[in-house]
Amino acid sequence: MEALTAFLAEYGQLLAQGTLDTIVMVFASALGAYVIGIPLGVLLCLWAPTGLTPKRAANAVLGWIVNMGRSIPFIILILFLIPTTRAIVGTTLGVRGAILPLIVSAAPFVARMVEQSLAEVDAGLIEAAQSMGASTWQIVYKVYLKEGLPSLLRGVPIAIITILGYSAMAGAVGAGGLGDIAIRYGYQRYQDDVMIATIVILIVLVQVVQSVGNLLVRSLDKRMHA
Amino acid sequence: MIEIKNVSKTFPTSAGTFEALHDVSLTIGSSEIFGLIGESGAGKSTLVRCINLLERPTSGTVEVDGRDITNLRGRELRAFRSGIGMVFQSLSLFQQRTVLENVRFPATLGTSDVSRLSAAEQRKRASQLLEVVGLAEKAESYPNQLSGGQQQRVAIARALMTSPSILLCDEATSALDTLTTASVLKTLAHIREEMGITIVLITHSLYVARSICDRIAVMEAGRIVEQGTTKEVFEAPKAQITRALLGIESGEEVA
Ligand SMILES: Nc1ncnc2c1ncn2[C@@H]1O[C@H](COP(=O)(O)OP(=O)(O)OP(=O)(O)O)[C@@H](O)[C@H]1O
Ligand SMILES: [Mg+2]
Repeated sequence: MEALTAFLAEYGQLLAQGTLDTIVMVFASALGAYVIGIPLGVLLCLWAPTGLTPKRAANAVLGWIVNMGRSIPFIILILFLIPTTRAIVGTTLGVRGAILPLIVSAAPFVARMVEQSLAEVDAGLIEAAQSMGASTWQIVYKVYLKEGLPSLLRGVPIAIITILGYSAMAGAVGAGGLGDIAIRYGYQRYQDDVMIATIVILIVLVQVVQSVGNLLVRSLDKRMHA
Repeated sequence: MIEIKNVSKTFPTSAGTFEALHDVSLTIGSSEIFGLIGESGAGKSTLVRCINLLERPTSGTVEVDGRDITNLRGRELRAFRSGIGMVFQSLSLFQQRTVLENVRFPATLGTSDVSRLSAAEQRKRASQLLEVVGLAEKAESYPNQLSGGQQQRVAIARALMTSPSILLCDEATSALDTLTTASVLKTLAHIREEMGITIVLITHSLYVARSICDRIAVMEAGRIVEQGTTKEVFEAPKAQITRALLGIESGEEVA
């Protein structure tokens, strides 16, 4: 108990700041990744060969860009993007410097998840809406996004947890947050207690994100109210 | 009135093109309940889907109330479609909307007169339609809380939301048991009496065809091989395929 008090007195502030940095970095990036990923996912779904408005060439190009984004390992992407990040954000350090590369790397992943969720929407519903005279845009937001919402929401914790993993890597190149602390204290200075503390915090974060996600899906999916 | 004139429809397939409809002509009168029967793959769905242009004919024309609709596109097509209700075999209710919001849905698309009503008035109309199909008390339920027959009646109410002049039913009762089918058919007959709507109905069930249709057309391999009043077709079937569908041995005299 005393050891814990002493530990917290020494590192409490640091860990709290690191946790906060990680949370800000991850949630801001997740938000950005969804802002980009949802429209891309919708287009991938619409332009697919069996989609509502098939567009072969455009779909191939978009699919290729998305795959490219997904195939670059994050640690390389962050280094590759340094000039871009500096130009846009003004710095490559700290939480602010990490958000752009995190968005760039998570958006394609989110786009694929969104595409997947929308593809699960029953084709009969799309056809029914068409037969009623719905436009493509109306089908997107009144049918695809509405009916796909539970599945989309199930993807959110997955995306957040993936970004959390990337954010720890971003720590290695000066992004701050828990990853940074784990590397600087736990790894470089052999402080196992700090290392363990960051791991415990990360585990708790993941559990909380997943539980909140599950709760949201359960309360919003009307199919479960039977 | 629906006039289908010399409609052919070919689909591109991996093995060349496939002709699903071959020079089909058919006239369906106003306020008629018209049945389409025929073996699986005969082209019934394709023909009915040509009426609201879910499929576009490869050649020929479709006229609805004297207007050639074959080449409608964009906004005009959507407005035209909102004047035709369709009920599918698969239960096609929106799972994330209440029964009432499902029925109201077509009014929210901005393509028909009901779209101009206020949201409250649209809901009122939706509840009246739920009364017509006998499900007023389910307004606030979600589709997965309903039985198959109830869901199909909601789908019928939804198809009626825009006061269409035509209702297309593609095997709307195929997934239902006999008693439920009877209740859905009663609903359809009732709607025709009340609203004078034209109903085109695809069915595999001779019971359905016999109990509700005024006239029937029989399809085989993309052609209409026989049509007439329900009585004529059932009592004096001419085409080989009709006899087969009715379970009469070929060559045997019909009493
Ligand atoms: N999009 C399509 N592409 C290729 N072939 C098609 C397509 N739609 C229908 N067909 C073919 O056209 C033929 C007629 O199909 P249709 O769905 O109209 O038959 P149906 O009479 O409704 O049959 P069922 O009673 O099984 O519903 C079938 O052989 C089918 O395989
Ligand atoms: Mg069919």
